[in-house]
Amino acid sequence: MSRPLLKCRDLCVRFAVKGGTVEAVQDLSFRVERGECVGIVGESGSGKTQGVLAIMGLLPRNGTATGSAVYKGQELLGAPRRSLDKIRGESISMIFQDAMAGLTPFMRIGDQLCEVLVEHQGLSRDDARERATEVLRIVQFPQPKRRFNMYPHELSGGMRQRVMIALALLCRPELIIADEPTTALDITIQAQILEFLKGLRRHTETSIIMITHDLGVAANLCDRIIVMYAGRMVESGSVYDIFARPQHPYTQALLRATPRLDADPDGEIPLLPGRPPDLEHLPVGCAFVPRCPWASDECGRRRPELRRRFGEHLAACFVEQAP
Amino acid sequence: MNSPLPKPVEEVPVQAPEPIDAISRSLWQDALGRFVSNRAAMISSGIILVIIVLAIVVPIWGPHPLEEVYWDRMMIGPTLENNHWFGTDVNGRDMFARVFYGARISLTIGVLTTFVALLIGVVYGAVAGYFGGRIGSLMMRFVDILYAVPALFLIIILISVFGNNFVLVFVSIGAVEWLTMARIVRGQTLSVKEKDYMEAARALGLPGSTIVARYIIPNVIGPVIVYVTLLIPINILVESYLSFLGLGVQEPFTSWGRLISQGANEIDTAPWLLLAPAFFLTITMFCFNFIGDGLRDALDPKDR
Repeated sequence: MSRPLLKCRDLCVRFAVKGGTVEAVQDLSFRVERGECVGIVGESGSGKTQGVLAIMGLLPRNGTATGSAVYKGQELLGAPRRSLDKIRGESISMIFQDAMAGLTPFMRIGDQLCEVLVEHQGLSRDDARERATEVLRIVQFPQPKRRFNMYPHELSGGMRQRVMIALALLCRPELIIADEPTTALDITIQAQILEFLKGLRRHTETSIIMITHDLGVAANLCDRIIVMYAGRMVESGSVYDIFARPQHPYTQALLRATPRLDADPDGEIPLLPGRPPDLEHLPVGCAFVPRCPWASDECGRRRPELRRRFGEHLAACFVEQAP
Repeated sequence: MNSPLPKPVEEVPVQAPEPIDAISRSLWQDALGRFVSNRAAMISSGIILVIIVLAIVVPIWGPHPLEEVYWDRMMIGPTLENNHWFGTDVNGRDMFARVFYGARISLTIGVLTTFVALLIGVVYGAVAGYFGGRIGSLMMRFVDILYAVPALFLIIILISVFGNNFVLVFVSIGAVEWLTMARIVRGQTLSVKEKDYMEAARALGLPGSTIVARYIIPNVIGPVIVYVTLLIPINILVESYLSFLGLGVQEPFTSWGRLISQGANEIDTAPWLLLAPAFFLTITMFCFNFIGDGLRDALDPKDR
């Protein structure tokens, strides 16, 4: 069996805040195989972004990551800046959520693109320009030659997101981490960009980690899905099993709360009651208890561990559901 | 004829979509446009330009050479006779030539000291802000310590230890005035560091030096430019204090501060000796401040 491209084990992310620490991510373990797309789904504050930032060594100063994240045999956590810089942008790249804020306002987009190529691949200015234009064309950026010297504020949101994606693709990375790449965009652009990422997967061996709160997006693109709640993985499995046989009540609630075209148009969308948990005061037992329809006394006393349900499917719940 | 009803909306002819202008306007060009439309700032820029040109031209092609002593014409008031437009000083030297020669020195010192302050302050502040944490705090505590030492006192010590020469005057002023610059740059850097594009730059694996040079400095430079225009007149003034105290430039060189100091001695008998340099010093101060205001309005990030 081939080695996975990225393997995380017991990844924990802690933030030092006033009066203690916040555990943003706890015991997150997962693998990404070559050419695979893994979706990480969860509410705001469930730790999905902090988990990948930790892998990329981008945590803010008050954050610490423990555990391990091995990329092609190289440990990323605690790696020196220099060796991380060789990997970041070249082998692993990241697409950020907010393209409006992700490009520096004082540099022409062409320069921002070329700089990465000059830095990582030692291309000459002219070669870099050529390659950057080519990548812009690949991401369907309209009229790349003419807009090459424009500043970010002169572009629309969709175009900026395409520049961000082009930045991530420049060095033909093996793993792309996309942090809600379509959340800030309108629905047509969103569809175009998802189509593009799908095409990218079809034509190249690129692996993708897709972070989203939108199960629809995840279903569209991913092979496997990890559902996170309050910093922990509560369920993971193939995209088919997650949708057809969800094992965790949180996943089921998420699925019910997703609007469907074939549902009764007058029927109400069942919302997930309650609020996301306060990471500073996590309960002893299962964090989902206050919102869980199945909660028993045991759930409040003890935290259910992740257990294998069938095949590769994991879920962390005491209630056994017949698959 | 006045109709009480609003005009019916006229049919607006559908315009062909305007071809997008491929010429790109940067944020700097926008700012320049705003600055140009600021009348006070533009007039001030013009006046400063005129003073600079006069400072270059007058000592070369003026009616009187700088050091020519007219024994028969000491302390005469401003007159058109013999072209002593600003009169002559106690030694019979032409004040017009001296004022603009002083402008040379004062403006040069103002600009060079500010440049020294800019260089040290921007690099120091950007590094302190970029690294942040313990190193950054330590660097800023060092700035605090230097702040606690009275600037004039420090300059006087530097000058009396290393002797008095032109280069030392501006180096020592600049070496003292960089403190505020460092603080401004550090504060800006800290706020820029929180921006998403910084995270994106790091995620692209760009090395620290590139990030400081290409991402941080261009984004913090706005307030720095404003402070530079305010620092130039401050430094001209500091040089004036020093010259007034006899620590600035020495004869036969002169500066506005030195001229004012000499003029102040003759305020009863020859007020023009004080008024001429004081007038130009004041005008210069005003103009730089107006330019600074104009730049601040033009570069204000809230307007972007």
